[in-house]
Amino acid sequence: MFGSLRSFQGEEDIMEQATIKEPAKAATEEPAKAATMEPAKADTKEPAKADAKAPAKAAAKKPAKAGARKPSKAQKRKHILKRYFKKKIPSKVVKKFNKVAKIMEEKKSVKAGRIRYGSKKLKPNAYYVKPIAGKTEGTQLVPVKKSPAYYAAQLKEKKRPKRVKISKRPVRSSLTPGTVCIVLAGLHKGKRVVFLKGLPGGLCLITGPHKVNSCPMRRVNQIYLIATSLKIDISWFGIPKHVNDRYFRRVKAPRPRKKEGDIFEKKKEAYFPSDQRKKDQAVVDGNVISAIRRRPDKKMVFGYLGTMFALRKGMYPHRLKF
Amino acid sequence: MAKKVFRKLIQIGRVVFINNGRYKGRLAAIVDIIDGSRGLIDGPCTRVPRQALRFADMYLTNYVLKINRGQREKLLRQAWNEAEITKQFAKSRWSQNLKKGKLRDQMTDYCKYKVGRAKQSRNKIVRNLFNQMKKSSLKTQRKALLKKRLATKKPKQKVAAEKK
Repeated sequence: MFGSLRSFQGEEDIMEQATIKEPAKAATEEPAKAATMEPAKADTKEPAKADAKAPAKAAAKKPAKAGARKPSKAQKRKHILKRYFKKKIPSKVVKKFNKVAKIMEEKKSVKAGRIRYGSKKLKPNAYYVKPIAGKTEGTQLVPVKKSPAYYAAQLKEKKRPKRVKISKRPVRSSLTPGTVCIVLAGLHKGKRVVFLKGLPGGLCLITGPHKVNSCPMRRVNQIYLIATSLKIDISWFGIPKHVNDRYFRRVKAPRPRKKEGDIFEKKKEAYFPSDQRKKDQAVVDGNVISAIRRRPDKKMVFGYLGTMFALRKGMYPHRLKF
Repeated sequence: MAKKVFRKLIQIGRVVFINNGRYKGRLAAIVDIIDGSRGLIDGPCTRVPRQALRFADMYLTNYVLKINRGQREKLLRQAWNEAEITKQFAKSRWSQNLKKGKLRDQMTDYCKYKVGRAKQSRNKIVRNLFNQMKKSSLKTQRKALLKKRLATKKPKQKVAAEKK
């Protein structure tokens, strides 16, 4: 590999020489032509002088430029080191690098420190120098990191984390426990009620309280609630744990058997709250009401909860501030 | 002389209330009239840059500055400050109503309810007082009427008695 590189560089050198020579040739030819064109007055000395100057200049320029372009090898090494290690360079690394670099320079590879090996770019400290085993002379470059002995034929599949079901759906940030809301749909639409908590199923638990505006504990979709800026502090009491989504589930009436009378005769039974519900209602309402009683403007709040919300003349819901 | 039909005119120096666009709600003065529908306005004291504005986008106020056509900003500012336009306008019913409107816009639902209740109670007091006054005045009226009637009846009875 190095051999081929060297040969390539040699070619470049030849090319360079050729380019340098060309202007010199041109310089010699041009004055000669000029002399032939104007033979009358032109002195024979002038073209000779120009001849002598042009190559001299070219000669003078070339080494000077080369000197400016090509710093000493040690300087180069330093420069390369600086590029790779921006912080302080450990002395061990410097030594190792210098060793490698020297060898590379001797072998006349591409610039030291930037050995191109296929498409990989090798850093100088990726290799270290070692005497060739079984020989008294010569050294060899050995990679610091050994290449792996085994390559997997197929890539391992990454294990993906199992999908976790969202246990609790989020409720709008304006709906916090104790917020007074306006119900927009259903049997109790227009009523101002107290938001108790968001249930895991995504519905909101509210209460009138029932004593104030005859709205019992209920589940409402949050899209049918408008949160007002009034908030009642209900943080000091807890809502019974058994009041959850299952608690509010509808009870299915047992299907009538085929033989038993006419299907159409059976009337729909009216909903009647169970004793358990009444009990829970009383407990929660008592707490909410006592929470309101703690406020200095309790009379107003009770009145507010007791009256219905309605849009009047000149009230535009998009402009209102709740 | 004929009666004045228009009290406020679009004229040079007329202070206007901008009702549309970026400078909505600010005062400025008409400096020049461009054509039938637009004027050049400037409000150095209200941070309104000199610009053309449609007359449809402004309301005319009662104030007129004594300035020349195309008056420069410095003298305009002087005239404005001398006439104390900003102070005068702040005192006016107009600006107070604007403030009231803003306050009303900011009111929350609960606030509105409270205001409604306050209004109710105020109206109750006023109504009661009014009714009391009405009652008492009616009483006095009735008494006066009775007195009058008695006064006029007595002589009639006497006359009748005499006739008999």
